[in-house]
Amino acid sequence: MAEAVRTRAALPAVGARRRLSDREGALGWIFLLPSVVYIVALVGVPFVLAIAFSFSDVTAGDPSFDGVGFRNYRRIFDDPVFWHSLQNTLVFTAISMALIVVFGKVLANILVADFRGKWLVRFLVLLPWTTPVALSSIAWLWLLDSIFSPIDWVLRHVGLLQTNTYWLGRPYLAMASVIAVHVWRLVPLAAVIMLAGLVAIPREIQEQAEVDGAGFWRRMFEITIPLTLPVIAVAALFGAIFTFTDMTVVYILTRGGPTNSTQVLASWAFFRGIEGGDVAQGAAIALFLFPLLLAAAIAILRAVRRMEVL
Amino acid sequence: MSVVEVRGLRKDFDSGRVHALDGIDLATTEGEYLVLLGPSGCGKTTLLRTVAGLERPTAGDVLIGGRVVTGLPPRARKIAMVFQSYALYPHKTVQQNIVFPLKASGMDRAERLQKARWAADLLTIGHLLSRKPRQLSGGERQRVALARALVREPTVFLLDEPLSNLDAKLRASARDELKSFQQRVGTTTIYVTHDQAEAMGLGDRIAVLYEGRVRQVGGPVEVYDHPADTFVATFIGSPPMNLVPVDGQLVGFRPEHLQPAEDVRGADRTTMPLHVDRIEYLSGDRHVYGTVTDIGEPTRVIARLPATVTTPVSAGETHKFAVAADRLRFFDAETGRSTAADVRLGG
Repeated sequence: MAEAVRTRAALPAVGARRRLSDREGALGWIFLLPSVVYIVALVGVPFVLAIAFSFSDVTAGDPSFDGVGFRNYRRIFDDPVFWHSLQNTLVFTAISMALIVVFGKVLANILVADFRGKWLVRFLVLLPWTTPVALSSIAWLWLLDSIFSPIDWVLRHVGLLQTNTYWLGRPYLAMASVIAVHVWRLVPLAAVIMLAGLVAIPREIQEQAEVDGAGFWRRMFEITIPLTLPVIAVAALFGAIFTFTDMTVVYILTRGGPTNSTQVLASWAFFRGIEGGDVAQGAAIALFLFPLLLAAAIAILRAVRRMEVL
Repeated sequence: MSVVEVRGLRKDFDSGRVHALDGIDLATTEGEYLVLLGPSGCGKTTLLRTVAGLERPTAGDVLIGGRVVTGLPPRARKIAMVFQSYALYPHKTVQQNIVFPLKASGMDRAERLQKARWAADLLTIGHLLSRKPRQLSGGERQRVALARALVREPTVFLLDEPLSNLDAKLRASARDELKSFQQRVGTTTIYVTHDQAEAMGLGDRIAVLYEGRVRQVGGPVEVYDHPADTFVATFIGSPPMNLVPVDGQLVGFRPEHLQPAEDVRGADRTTMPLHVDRIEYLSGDRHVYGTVTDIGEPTRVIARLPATVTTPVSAGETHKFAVAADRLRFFDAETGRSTAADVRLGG
């Protein structure tokens, strides 16, 4: 009897504790709030601002907001540098993505193998990805210098080159240099993503293919690649997005030059909007990244969903 | 000539710290169903994988069809393997799965489709050819895996616990199917399992493995009735063989041979008092748990009384039990090896 009374007395306290930790709906909102605030403040607001600016005449000198309709868009469409930047952006992205996938795949296959000193190789391979883009771009600026380039020095000493090469001074070499740096810095990420895909293939499937008489290439193209295709797609899209949106490499290596031949949308928007002070036009240029990024994001989510089905 | 033979096979893991295979000599005969039986970690799967070429032995040789293949990769060995998980290619249809080994061997398209058709009909999966593996039941997957193994016309089938992924009910029918399949195609088969019922039911011969060594090779009757050592005696049979220490030897007898004294006919028998602890009633049999005394050290034993024995036995009592003398087995207490009788038993 006494025990029953004590239990009843203890009930409200237990109930209250339970109610706090049991309200998953409220807890969910509390835990989500920081990231929601973060996304709204640093992604949502700037995005809306950019759209608003693109229809205005805001400049660094005159921040007052006056609507001007589509004037900014008409002006950038009339500007050949914009079209050149858009073309460069697409070309850089397409070529980098293809190279990133191929090299990433090769690297992933090397990293998945078992050999001595594997962790050291993995560490070295990941280094370009962990280095801040600005720092590694500065390092590349020196590597590609027109006078002091160590690449030139090596090529000269093995007899492949007679004089200095102006890596960043000639349009096509400059474009190739920008692509090379993008590939160099994104291959590790792609390799690690694809490595995860490779590791996820059951060992028995690989062994079955071996017992079934398939050689290395047949296993690669009939088993490994089809089974990791969704992961490869994710790696490709990551590579594409990072190349597509990046302005650091172009800004540090070439500043868009020579004569805008390496200009991309992101750098052109920066030069126009921030350095040139025409905020409205910079915003309009930058907005052209949006539809393409949206398409890429949808493609990523689709690929991920397909991966879950498999 | 044996189809598959291994000589002095050793396999170490972790740079010699673990001996997965500790000197194995074993040979199959043409068309035989050889079962490798042992508890998990005994080396049976490692042995199978070494025969397949998926593991390289530390020492010793693998011979297939009289040819040393130790250094050859799996594809050069004319073997077919069915893994525990069946390892069907999930992105390929049943037909693409079955023709894969033929494609790898460079057979032309018309011929390999015909071959796939033949294998699929043999295993009655002809109607599933356009399905993906995830749309198949466990039993169907097993048959697809067998069809894929069959089309290669291998010299030997290597099966690694192919029934362990099936539920208990399906397992019995799948076992039956496996046996009749092998009898139809007549290909030498090495089958790995930890399930003694599978081993006894399927094997022409059973090789019992423990700690990387072959403890006994023989037909189901032989390994059951004449176990080579105490490991085989207690691993095979459920409940296992009773072992009673008597003067430096172990006296063994199967639970079904320990019966109430009044039910054991013949003069040549050993009687012993059994103090009964409890009785289980299982599928018509009575399993009697208790302690025997008098013949040696008091030991806990199990007697299995078939439904035909109706002698009343009840828990808490001591009852006189007996074993026919020809059913007694003797083992060396130190080595555990089977020996001749060296002790005199009372009664």
